[in-house]
Amino acid sequence: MMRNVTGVKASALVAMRSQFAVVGPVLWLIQILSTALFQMWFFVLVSDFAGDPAAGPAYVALGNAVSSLTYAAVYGVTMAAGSEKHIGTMASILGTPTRMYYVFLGKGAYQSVIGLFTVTVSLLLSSWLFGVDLSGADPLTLATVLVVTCFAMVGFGMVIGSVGVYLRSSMVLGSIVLYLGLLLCGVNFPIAYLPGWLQPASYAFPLTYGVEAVRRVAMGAGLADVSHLLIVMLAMGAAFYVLAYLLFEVFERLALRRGSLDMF
Amino acid sequence: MMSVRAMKAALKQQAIHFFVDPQWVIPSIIAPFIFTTVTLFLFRHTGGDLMLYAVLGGGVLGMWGNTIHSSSWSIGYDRMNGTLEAIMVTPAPLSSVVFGRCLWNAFLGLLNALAVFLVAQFAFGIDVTVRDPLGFLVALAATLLSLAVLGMVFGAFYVVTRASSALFQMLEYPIYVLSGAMFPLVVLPEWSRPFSYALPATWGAEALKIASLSGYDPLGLGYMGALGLTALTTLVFLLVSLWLFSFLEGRAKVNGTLVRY
Repeated sequence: MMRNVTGVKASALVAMRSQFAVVGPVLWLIQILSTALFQMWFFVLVSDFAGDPAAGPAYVALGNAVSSLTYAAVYGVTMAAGSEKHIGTMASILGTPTRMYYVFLGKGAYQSVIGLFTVTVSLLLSSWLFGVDLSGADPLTLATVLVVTCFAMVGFGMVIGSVGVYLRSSMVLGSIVLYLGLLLCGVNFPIAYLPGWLQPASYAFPLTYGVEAVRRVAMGAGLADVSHLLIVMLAMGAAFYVLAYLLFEVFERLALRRGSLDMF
Repeated sequence: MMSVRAMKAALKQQAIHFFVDPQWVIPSIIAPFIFTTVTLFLFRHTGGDLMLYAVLGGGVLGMWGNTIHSSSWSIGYDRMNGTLEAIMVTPAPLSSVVFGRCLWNAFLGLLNALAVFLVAQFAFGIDVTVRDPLGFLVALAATLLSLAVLGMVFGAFYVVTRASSALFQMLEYPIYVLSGAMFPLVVLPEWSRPFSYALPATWGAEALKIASLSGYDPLGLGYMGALGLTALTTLVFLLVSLWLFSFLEGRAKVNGTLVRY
Protein backbone atom coordinates (compact mmCIF):
# COMPACT_ATOMS: atom_id res chain seq x y z
CA MET A 1 0.00 0.00 0.00
CA MET A 2 2.71 2.46 1.08
CA ARG A 3 4.73 1.54 -1.99
CA ASN A 4 1.79 2.41 -4.23
CA VAL A 5 1.33 5.80 -2.55
CA THR A 6 5.05 6.52 -2.99
CA GLY A 7 4.76 5.44 -6.63
CA VAL A 8 1.85 7.82 -7.27
CA LYS A 9 3.71 10.69 -5.60
CA ALA A 10 6.97 10.04 -7.44
CA SER A 11 5.19 9.71 -10.77
CA ALA A 12 3.35 13.02 -10.25
CA LEU A 13 6.63 14.77 -9.41
CA VAL A 14 8.42 13.32 -12.44
CA ALA A 15 5.48 14.36 -14.65
CA MET A 16 5.74 17.91 -13.31
CA ARG A 17 9.50 18.14 -13.89
CA SER A 18 9.42 16.64 -17.35
CA GLN A 19 6.60 19.01 -18.37
CA PHE A 20 9.07 21.88 -18.57
CA ALA A 21 12.04 19.93 -19.92
CA VAL A 22 11.19 20.61 -23.57
CA VAL A 23 8.67 23.45 -23.42
CA GLY A 24 9.65 26.22 -20.99
CA PRO A 25 7.12 27.59 -18.45
CA VAL A 26 6.46 30.81 -20.40
CA LEU A 27 5.85 29.07 -23.73
CA TRP A 28 3.74 26.44 -21.96
CA LEU A 29 1.60 29.13 -20.33
CA ILE A 30 1.14 30.95 -23.65
CA GLN A 31 0.22 27.64 -25.29
CA ILE A 32 -2.39 26.78 -22.65
CA LEU A 33 -3.94 30.25 -22.68
CA SER A 34 -3.91 30.80 -26.44
CA THR A 35 -5.43 27.39 -27.19
CA ALA A 36 -8.25 27.96 -24.72
CA LEU A 37 -8.77 31.56 -25.85
CA PHE A 38 -8.80 30.95 -29.61
CA GLN A 39 -11.05 27.90 -29.35
CA MET A 40 -13.50 29.93 -27.29
CA TRP A 41 -13.24 32.91 -29.63
CA PHE A 42 -13.83 30.77 -32.72
CA PHE A 43 -17.08 29.32 -31.42
CA VAL A 44 -18.20 32.65 -29.98
CA LEU A 45 -17.83 34.24 -33.43
CA VAL A 46 -19.63 31.34 -35.10
CA SER A 47 -22.52 31.53 -32.62
CA ASP A 48 -22.66 35.31 -32.97
CA PHE A 49 -22.96 34.94 -36.75
CA ALA A 50 -25.45 32.05 -36.49
CA GLY A 51 -27.72 34.08 -34.21
CA ASP A 52 -29.30 31.10 -32.45
CA PRO A 53 -30.80 32.46 -29.20
CA ALA A 54 -30.52 29.06 -27.46
CA ALA A 55 -26.78 28.93 -28.13
CA GLY A 56 -25.61 32.53 -27.92
CA PRO A 57 -22.01 33.73 -27.46
CA ALA A 58 -22.11 33.61 -23.63
CA TYR A 59 -23.57 30.07 -23.68
CA VAL A 60 -20.85 28.92 -26.06
CA ALA A 61 -18.04 30.71 -24.19
CA LEU A 62 -19.00 29.14 -20.86
CA GLY A 63 -19.23 25.66 -22.40
CA ASN A 64 -15.83 26.01 -24.04
CA ALA A 65 -14.28 27.34 -20.84
CA VAL A 66 -15.38 24.20 -18.97
CA SER A 67 -14.35 21.92 -21.83
CA SER A 68 -10.80 23.33 -21.65
CA LEU A 69 -10.44 20.87 -18.76
CA THR A 70 -10.39 18.10 -21.36
CA TYR A 71 -6.91 19.01 -22.65
CA ALA A 72 -5.18 18.01 -19.44
CA ALA A 73 -7.70 15.82 -17.65
CA VAL A 74 -8.54 13.56 -20.59
CA TYR A 75 -6.06 14.11 -23.45
CA GLY A 76 -3.02 14.56 -21.18
CA VAL A 77 -3.87 11.38 -19.24
CA THR A 78 -4.79 9.42 -22.37
CA MET A 79 -1.47 10.29 -23.97
CA ALA A 80 0.62 9.31 -20.92
CA ALA A 81 1.01 5.60 -21.72
CA GLY A 82 1.49 6.24 -25.43
CA SER A 83 4.17 8.85 -24.73
CA GLU A 84 6.18 6.47 -22.53
CA LYS A 85 6.04 3.93 -25.32
CA HIS A 86 7.06 6.54 -27.88
CA ILE A 87 10.07 7.61 -25.82
CA GLY A 88 10.98 3.99 -25.07
CA THR A 89 10.60 4.07 -21.28
CA MET A 90 7.58 1.78 -20.96
CA ALA A 91 9.63 -1.35 -20.31
CA SER A 92 11.59 0.46 -17.57
CA ILE A 93 8.33 1.44 -15.85
CA LEU A 94 7.20 -2.17 -15.92
CA GLY A 95 10.52 -3.17 -14.37
CA THR A 96 9.86 -1.10 -11.23
CA PRO A 97 8.10 -2.67 -8.22
CA THR A 98 5.17 -0.19 -8.58
CA ARG A 99 2.21 -1.38 -10.62
CA MET A 100 1.74 0.44 -13.89
CA TYR A 101 -1.72 1.68 -12.82
CA TYR A 102 -0.24 3.69 -9.93
CA VAL A 103 2.44 5.22 -12.13
CA PHE A 104 -0.25 6.54 -14.47
CA LEU A 105 -2.46 7.53 -11.55
CA GLY A 106 0.39 9.84 -10.46
CA LYS A 107 0.53 11.34 -13.93
CA GLY A 108 -3.24 11.80 -13.76
CA ALA A 109 -2.90 13.59 -10.41
CA TYR A 110 -0.48 16.07 -11.97
CA GLN A 111 -2.72 16.57 -15.01
CA SER A 112 -5.61 17.31 -12.62
CA VAL A 113 -3.71 20.29 -11.24
CA ILE A 114 -2.97 21.53 -14.77
CA GLY A 115 -6.60 20.97 -15.78
CA LEU A 116 -7.97 22.91 -12.83
CA PHE A 117 -5.59 25.77 -13.55
CA THR A 118 -6.62 25.83 -17.24
CA VAL A 119 -10.35 25.78 -16.53
CA THR A 120 -10.01 28.54 -13.90
CA VAL A 121 -8.14 30.81 -16.31
CA SER A 122 -10.59 29.95 -19.13
CA LEU A 123 -13.57 30.85 -16.95
CA LEU A 124 -11.95 34.17 -16.08
CA LEU A 125 -11.27 34.83 -19.79
CA SER A 126 -14.84 33.91 -20.73
CA SER A 127 -16.15 36.35 -18.17
CA TRP A 128 -13.68 39.11 -19.03
CA LEU A 129 -13.79 38.89 -22.84
CA PHE A 130 -17.01 37.17 -23.85
CA GLY A 131 -19.61 38.45 -21.44
CA VAL A 132 -20.15 35.32 -19.35
CA ASP A 133 -21.90 36.41 -16.17
CA LEU A 134 -20.39 34.61 -13.19
CA SER A 135 -21.51 37.19 -10.63
CA GLY A 136 -24.27 34.89 -9.35
CA ALA A 137 -21.93 31.93 -8.87
CA ASP A 138 -20.87 30.90 -5.39
CA PRO A 139 -17.06 30.42 -5.63
CA LEU A 140 -17.03 27.44 -3.26
CA THR A 141 -19.80 25.63 -5.14
CA LEU A 142 -18.09 26.37 -8.46
CA ALA A 143 -14.77 25.05 -7.14
CA THR A 144 -16.47 21.87 -5.86
CA VAL A 145 -18.14 21.27 -9.22
CA LEU A 146 -14.86 21.76 -11.08
CA VAL A 147 -12.91 19.42 -8.77
CA VAL A 148 -15.55 16.68 -9.07
CA THR A 149 -15.71 17.12 -12.87
CA CYS A 150 -11.93 16.89 -13.03
CA PHE A 151 -11.95 13.74 -10.86
CA ALA A 152 -14.41 11.99 -13.20
CA MET A 153 -12.65 13.17 -16.36
CA VAL A 154 -9.21 11.97 -15.23
CA GLY A 155 -10.79 8.55 -14.52
CA PHE A 156 -12.28 8.60 -18.02
CA GLY A 157 -8.87 9.54 -19.45
CA MET A 158 -7.24 6.63 -17.61
CA VAL A 159 -9.72 4.18 -19.09
CA ILE A 160 -8.99 5.43 -22.60
CA GLY A 161 -5.25 5.71 -21.89
CA SER A 162 -4.95 2.12 -20.72
CA VAL A 163 -5.20 0.90 -24.32
CA GLY A 164 -1.96 2.77 -25.00
CA VAL A 165 -0.18 0.05 -23.01
CA TYR A 166 -1.26 -2.51 -25.57
CA LEU A 167 -1.70 -0.60 -28.83
CA ARG A 168 1.10 1.20 -30.65
CA SER A 169 -0.20 4.56 -29.49
CA SER A 170 -3.16 6.11 -27.75
CA MET A 171 -2.80 9.33 -29.76
CA VAL A 172 -5.50 8.53 -32.29
CA LEU A 173 -8.03 7.60 -29.63
CA GLY A 174 -6.97 10.56 -27.46
CA SER A 175 -7.45 13.02 -30.33
CA ILE A 176 -10.94 11.73 -31.03
CA VAL A 177 -11.99 11.92 -27.37
CA LEU A 178 -10.45 15.38 -27.02
CA TYR A 179 -12.74 16.93 -29.63
CA LEU A 180 -15.81 14.72 -29.37
CA GLY A 181 -16.84 16.54 -26.20
CA LEU A 182 -17.30 19.76 -28.20
CA LEU A 183 -19.98 18.00 -30.22
CA LEU A 184 -21.67 15.69 -27.73
CA CYS A 185 -21.48 17.28 -24.28
CA GLY A 186 -23.66 20.38 -24.55
CA VAL A 187 -20.59 22.61 -24.82
CA ASN A 188 -21.66 24.60 -27.89
CA PHE A 189 -25.36 23.83 -28.20
CA PRO A 190 -28.02 21.97 -26.18
CA ILE A 191 -27.86 18.17 -26.39
CA ALA A 192 -31.43 18.22 -27.73
CA TYR A 193 -30.00 19.48 -31.06
CA LEU A 194 -28.32 16.11 -31.62
CA PRO A 195 -30.20 13.35 -33.44
CA GLY A 196 -32.12 11.12 -31.00
CA TRP A 197 -29.90 8.08 -31.61
CA LEU A 198 -26.78 10.07 -30.70
CA GLN A 199 -28.08 11.69 -27.51
CA PRO A 200 -27.49 8.68 -25.19
CA ALA A 201 -23.76 8.83 -26.09
CA SER A 202 -23.61 12.31 -24.53
CA TYR A 203 -24.41 10.89 -21.12
CA ALA A 204 -21.40 8.55 -21.19
CA PHE A 205 -19.10 11.59 -20.98
CA PRO A 206 -18.54 13.15 -17.53
CA LEU A 207 -18.03 16.51 -19.28
CA THR A 208 -21.78 16.60 -20.06
CA TYR A 209 -22.64 16.68 -16.35
CA GLY A 210 -19.79 19.07 -15.57
CA VAL A 211 -20.90 21.60 -18.18
CA GLU A 212 -24.51 21.38 -17.02
CA ALA A 213 -23.50 21.80 -13.36
CA VAL A 214 -21.32 24.86 -14.12
CA ARG A 215 -24.12 26.45 -16.16
CA ARG A 216 -26.49 26.04 -13.21
CA VAL A 217 -23.96 27.35 -10.68
CA ALA A 218 -23.35 30.37 -12.93
CA MET A 219 -27.09 31.08 -12.75
CA GLY A 220 -26.95 31.04 -8.95
CA ALA A 221 -27.60 27.38 -8.07
CA GLY A 222 -26.17 26.15 -4.78
CA LEU A 223 -24.46 22.89 -3.91
CA ALA A 224 -27.77 21.19 -3.08
CA ASP A 225 -29.21 22.14 -6.48
CA VAL A 226 -26.42 20.41 -8.38
CA SER A 227 -25.86 17.55 -5.92
CA HIS A 228 -27.48 14.98 -8.22
CA LEU A 229 -25.04 15.91 -11.00
CA LEU A 230 -22.13 15.71 -8.58
CA ILE A 231 -23.26 12.26 -7.39
CA VAL A 232 -23.46 11.03 -10.98
CA MET A 233 -19.94 12.32 -11.69
CA LEU A 234 -18.53 10.83 -8.47
CA ALA A 235 -20.12 7.45 -9.26
CA MET A 236 -18.90 7.59 -12.86
CA GLY A 237 -15.43 8.61 -11.71
CA ALA A 238 -15.20 5.75 -9.18
CA ALA A 239 -16.35 3.27 -11.83
CA PHE A 240 -13.80 4.65 -14.30
CA TYR A 241 -10.90 4.25 -11.82
CA VAL A 242 -11.87 0.62 -11.08
CA LEU A 243 -12.28 -0.12 -14.78
CA ALA A 244 -8.95 1.55 -15.55
CA TYR A 245 -7.25 -0.60 -12.90
CA LEU A 246 -8.63 -3.78 -14.47
CA LEU A 247 -7.81 -2.62 -18.00
CA PHE A 248 -4.22 -1.73 -17.07
CA GLU A 249 -3.83 -5.26 -15.63
CA VAL A 250 -5.31 -6.89 -18.74
CA PHE A 251 -3.44 -4.77 -21.29
CA GLU A 252 -0.18 -5.12 -19.38
CA ARG A 253 -0.50 -8.91 -19.55
CA LEU A 254 -1.52 -8.84 -23.22
CA ALA A 255 1.37 -6.52 -24.10
CA LEU A 256 3.83 -8.81 -22.33
CA ARG A 257 2.48 -11.84 -24.17
CA ARG A 258 2.49 -10.09 -27.53
CA GLY A 259 5.80 -8.34 -26.93
CA SER A 260 4.26 -4.99 -27.88
CA LEU A 261 5.31 -3.10 -24.76
CA ASP A 262 8.02 -1.17 -26.58
CA MET A 263 6.36 -1.23 -29.98
CA PHE A 264 5.76 2.15 -31.52
CA MET B 1 16.56 28.48 -54.27
CA MET B 2 13.97 25.72 -54.65
CA SER B 3 14.66 22.26 -56.05
CA VAL B 4 11.70 20.71 -57.88
CA ARG B 5 13.32 17.27 -57.71
CA ALA B 6 13.72 17.45 -53.93
CA MET B 7 10.15 18.71 -53.63
CA LYS B 8 8.80 15.81 -55.65
CA ALA B 9 10.87 13.30 -53.67
CA ALA B 10 9.68 14.76 -50.34
CA LEU B 11 6.07 14.70 -51.52
CA LYS B 12 6.46 11.06 -52.58
CA GLN B 13 8.13 10.10 -49.31
CA GLN B 14 5.39 11.79 -47.29
CA ALA B 15 2.75 9.99 -49.36
CA ILE B 16 4.44 6.64 -48.73
CA HIS B 17 4.54 7.38 -44.99
CA PHE B 18 0.83 8.03 -45.10
CA PHE B 19 -0.07 4.85 -46.99
CA VAL B 20 2.10 2.72 -44.69
CA ASP B 21 0.23 3.93 -41.62
CA PRO B 22 -2.86 5.99 -42.53
CA GLN B 23 -4.17 6.17 -38.93
CA TRP B 24 -1.92 9.17 -38.24
CA VAL B 25 -4.09 11.37 -40.40
CA ILE B 26 -6.86 11.15 -37.76
CA PRO B 27 -5.26 13.42 -35.12
CA SER B 28 -4.76 16.14 -37.72
CA ILE B 29 -8.20 16.10 -39.30
CA ILE B 30 -10.39 15.41 -36.28
CA ALA B 31 -10.32 19.00 -34.92
CA PRO B 32 -11.41 20.76 -38.13
CA PHE B 33 -14.00 18.03 -38.77
CA ILE B 34 -15.58 18.44 -35.34
CA PHE B 35 -15.35 22.25 -35.51
CA THR B 36 -17.22 22.20 -38.83
CA THR B 37 -19.86 19.76 -37.60
CA VAL B 38 -20.48 21.92 -34.52
CA THR B 39 -20.79 24.95 -36.81
CA LEU B 40 -23.33 23.10 -38.96
CA PHE B 41 -25.39 22.41 -35.83
CA LEU B 42 -25.23 26.10 -34.89
CA PHE B 43 -26.22 27.14 -38.42
CA ARG B 44 -28.93 24.50 -38.83
CA HIS B 45 -31.83 26.91 -38.37
CA THR B 46 -30.47 29.31 -40.98
CA GLY B 47 -30.46 26.87 -43.93
CA GLY B 48 -29.62 27.67 -47.55
CA ASP B 49 -26.35 29.29 -48.55
CA LEU B 50 -25.16 29.78 -44.98
CA MET B 51 -24.86 26.02 -44.53
CA LEU B 52 -22.84 25.73 -47.73
CA TYR B 53 -20.76 28.64 -46.45
CA ALA B 54 -19.89 26.58 -43.36
CA VAL B 55 -19.10 23.52 -45.46
CA LEU B 56 -16.66 25.51 -47.62
CA GLY B 57 -15.07 27.04 -44.53
CA GLY B 58 -14.74 23.58 -43.04
CA GLY B 59 -12.82 22.44 -46.10
CA VAL B 60 -10.32 25.28 -45.62
CA LEU B 61 -9.98 24.48 -41.90
CA GLY B 62 -9.37 20.83 -42.78
CA MET B 63 -6.58 21.64 -45.19
CA TRP B 64 -4.99 24.01 -42.70
CA GLY B 65 -5.33 21.60 -39.75
CA ASN B 66 -3.57 18.88 -41.65
CA THR B 67 -0.89 21.16 -43.05
CA ILE B 68 0.13 22.67 -39.73
CA HIS B 69 -0.13 19.41 -37.80
CA SER B 70 1.76 17.21 -40.22
CA SER B 71 4.29 19.81 -41.26
CA SER B 72 5.26 20.65 -37.72
CA TRP B 73 5.44 17.03 -36.73
CA SER B 74 7.38 15.99 -39.81
CA ILE B 75 10.29 18.19 -38.73
CA GLY B 76 9.62 17.27 -35.07
CA TYR B 77 9.92 13.58 -35.89
CA ASP B 78 13.11 14.16 -37.86
CA ARG B 79 14.50 15.88 -34.81
CA MET B 80 13.29 13.10 -32.51
CA ASN B 81 14.57 10.32 -34.74
CA GLY B 82 17.89 12.08 -35.29
CA THR B 83 17.44 12.41 -39.07
CA LEU B 84 17.21 16.21 -39.23
CA GLU B 85 20.99 16.57 -39.36
CA ALA B 86 21.20 14.00 -42.17
CA ILE B 87 18.62 15.93 -44.22
CA MET B 88 20.53 19.18 -43.69
CA VAL B 89 23.78 17.79 -45.08
CA THR B 90 22.19 16.66 -48.36
CA PRO B 91 22.54 19.06 -51.31
CA ALA B 92 18.73 19.48 -51.44
CA PRO B 93 17.54 22.70 -49.75
CA LEU B 94 15.56 21.96 -46.58
CA SER B 95 12.89 24.43 -47.70
CA SER B 96 12.19 22.27 -50.78
CA VAL B 97 11.93 19.13 -48.64
CA VAL B 98 9.50 20.84 -46.25
CA PHE B 99 7.48 22.37 -49.11
CA GLY B 100 7.06 18.95 -50.73
CA ARG B 101 5.79 17.55 -47.43
CA CYS B 102 3.47 20.52 -46.86
CA LEU B 103 1.97 20.08 -50.33
CA TRP B 104 1.09 16.47 -49.60
CA ASN B 105 -0.27 17.36 -46.18
CA ALA B 106 -2.48 20.14 -47.53
CA PHE B 107 -3.68 17.77 -50.26
CA LEU B 108 -4.51 15.19 -47.62
CA GLY B 109 -6.57 17.84 -45.87
CA LEU B 110 -8.95 17.46 -48.81
CA LEU B 111 -9.92 14.16 -47.19
CA ASN B 112 -11.35 16.20 -44.38
CA ALA B 113 -13.13 18.47 -46.83
CA LEU B 114 -14.59 15.36 -48.44
CA ALA B 115 -15.73 14.02 -45.03
CA VAL B 116 -17.36 17.38 -44.29
CA PHE B 117 -19.11 17.37 -47.69
CA LEU B 118 -20.46 13.88 -47.03
CA VAL B 119 -21.74 14.78 -43.55
CA ALA B 120 -23.27 17.97 -44.94
CA GLN B 121 -24.98 16.15 -47.80
CA PHE B 122 -26.25 13.08 -45.96
CA ALA B 123 -26.63 14.10 -42.29
CA PHE B 124 -27.74 17.72 -42.77
CA GLY B 125 -29.29 17.40 -46.24
CA ILE B 126 -27.34 20.38 -47.56
CA ASP B 127 -27.22 20.74 -51.30
CA VAL B 128 -23.48 20.89 -51.94
CA THR B 129 -23.65 22.32 -55.45
CA VAL B 130 -21.19 24.99 -56.48
CA ARG B 131 -22.12 27.82 -58.85
CA ASP B 132 -18.91 27.76 -60.90
CA PRO B 133 -17.23 24.31 -60.72
CA LEU B 134 -14.15 25.30 -62.75
CA GLY B 135 -13.61 28.46 -60.71
CA PHE B 136 -14.10 26.40 -57.57
CA LEU B 137 -11.39 23.90 -58.60
CA VAL B 138 -8.93 26.68 -59.46
CA ALA B 139 -9.64 28.42 -56.13
CA LEU B 140 -9.26 25.10 -54.31
CA ALA B 141 -5.86 24.49 -55.89
CA ALA B 142 -4.77 28.06 -55.06
CA THR B 143 -5.96 27.69 -51.45
CA LEU B 144 -4.17 24.37 -51.11
CA LEU B 145 -0.95 25.93 -52.41
CA SER B 146 -1.33 28.97 -50.16
CA LEU B 147 -1.82 26.82 -47.05
CA ALA B 148 1.21 24.71 -47.96
CA VAL B 149 3.30 27.90 -48.19
CA LEU B 150 1.90 29.14 -44.87
CA GLY B 151 2.80 25.78 -43.32
CA MET B 152 6.30 26.23 -44.70
CA VAL B 153 6.71 29.61 -42.99
CA PHE B 154 5.83 28.07 -39.64
CA GLY B 155 7.82 24.94 -40.47
CA ALA B 156 10.98 27.04 -40.64
CA PHE B 157 10.82 27.71 -36.91
CA TYR B 158 10.77 24.01 -36.13
CA VAL B 159 14.31 23.79 -37.41
CA VAL B 160 15.57 25.84 -34.48
CA THR B 161 13.25 24.73 -31.70
CA ARG B 162 12.36 21.36 -30.27
CA ALA B 163 9.14 22.77 -28.83
CA SER B 164 7.32 22.12 -32.12
CA SER B 165 4.26 20.54 -30.54
CA ALA B 166 3.62 23.60 -28.39
CA LEU B 167 4.02 25.89 -31.40
CA PHE B 168 1.68 23.79 -33.49
CA GLN B 169 -1.06 24.01 -30.89
CA MET B 170 -0.63 27.76 -30.69
CA LEU B 171 -0.81 28.24 -34.46
CA GLU B 172 -3.73 26.04 -35.46
CA TYR B 173 -6.66 27.94 -33.95
CA PRO B 174 -5.60 31.55 -34.69
CA ILE B 175 -5.79 30.76 -38.42
CA TYR B 176 -9.23 29.19 -37.91
CA VAL B 177 -10.35 32.49 -36.41
CA LEU B 178 -8.44 35.03 -38.49
CA SER B 179 -9.04 33.44 -41.92
CA GLY B 180 -12.76 34.08 -41.48
CA ALA B 181 -13.43 30.73 -43.12
CA MET B 182 -16.56 30.12 -41.03
CA PHE B 183 -17.88 33.66 -40.72
CA PRO B 184 -17.55 36.94 -42.61
CA LEU B 185 -14.52 39.04 -41.73
CA VAL B 186 -16.80 41.86 -40.57
CA VAL B 187 -17.72 39.72 -37.55
CA LEU B 188 -14.11 40.01 -36.35
CA PRO B 189 -13.08 43.07 -34.34
CA GLU B 190 -11.56 45.84 -36.42
CA TRP B 191 -8.10 45.62 -34.82
CA SER B 192 -7.71 41.99 -35.90
CA ARG B 193 -8.70 42.47 -39.55
CA PRO B 194 -5.24 43.52 -40.84
CA PHE B 195 -3.94 40.14 -39.62
CA SER B 196 -6.73 38.45 -41.58
CA TYR B 197 -5.96 40.46 -44.72
CA ALA B 198 -2.32 39.36 -44.56
CA LEU B 199 -3.22 35.66 -44.65
CA PRO B 200 -3.43 33.87 -48.01
CA ALA B 201 -5.97 31.47 -46.43
CA THR B 202 -8.39 34.40 -46.02
CA TRP B 203 -8.38 35.21 -49.74
CA GLY B 204 -8.39 31.54 -50.75
CA ALA B 205 -11.50 30.96 -48.65
CA GLU B 206 -13.03 34.13 -50.13
CA ALA B 207 -12.36 32.94 -53.72
CA LEU B 208 -13.90 29.55 -52.91
CA LYS B 209 -17.05 31.20 -51.55
CA ILE B 210 -17.38 33.58 -54.50
CA ALA B 211 -17.07 30.62 -56.91
CA SER B 212 -19.67 28.61 -54.99
CA LEU B 213 -22.34 30.95 -53.63
CA SER B 214 -24.67 32.99 -55.81
CA GLY B 215 -24.35 36.73 -55.20
CA TYR B 216 -21.62 36.37 -52.58
CA ASP B 217 -18.96 39.09 -52.70
CA PRO B 218 -19.13 41.21 -49.52
CA LEU B 219 -15.79 42.93 -50.14
CA GLY B 220 -16.54 43.68 -53.80
CA LEU B 221 -13.36 41.98 -55.00
CA GLY B 222 -14.83 39.67 -57.59
CA TYR B 223 -13.51 36.17 -58.19
CA MET B 224 -10.36 37.33 -59.97
CA GLY B 225 -9.66 39.90 -57.26
CA ALA B 226 -9.82 37.29 -54.49
CA LEU B 227 -7.74 34.84 -56.53
CA GLY B 228 -5.18 37.57 -57.29
CA LEU B 229 -4.86 38.43 -53.61
CA THR B 230 -4.44 34.73 -52.79
CA ALA B 231 -1.59 34.55 -55.32
CA LEU B 232 0.00 37.79 -54.10
CA THR B 233 -0.05 36.90 -50.38
CA THR B 234 1.13 33.37 -51.19
CA LEU B 235 4.09 34.78 -53.11
CA VAL B 236 4.97 37.12 -50.23
CA PHE B 237 4.81 34.25 -47.73
CA LEU B 238 6.89 32.06 -50.05
CA LEU B 239 9.64 34.70 -50.18
CA VAL B 240 9.45 35.16 -46.40
CA SER B 241 9.70 31.41 -45.85
CA LEU B 242 12.73 31.07 -48.14
CA TRP B 243 14.49 33.85 -46.30
CA LEU B 244 13.50 32.36 -42.93
CA PHE B 245 14.80 28.92 -43.90
CA SER B 246 18.09 30.34 -45.00
CA PHE B 247 18.45 32.43 -41.81
CA LEU B 248 17.23 29.80 -39.33
CA GLU B 249 19.13 26.92 -40.94
CA GLY B 250 22.31 28.93 -40.54
CA ARG B 251 21.46 29.68 -36.95
CA ALA B 252 20.70 26.05 -36.10
CA LYS B 253 24.02 24.98 -37.61
CA VAL B 254 25.92 27.57 -35.55
CA ASN B 255 24.06 26.65 -32.35
CA GLY B 256 24.47 22.94 -32.99
CA THR B 257 20.90 22.24 -31.85
CA LEU B 258 19.73 20.06 -34.74
CA VAL B 259 20.03 16.77 -32.87
CA ARG B 260 18.91 18.18 -29.54
CA TYR B 261 15.68 16.64 -28.43
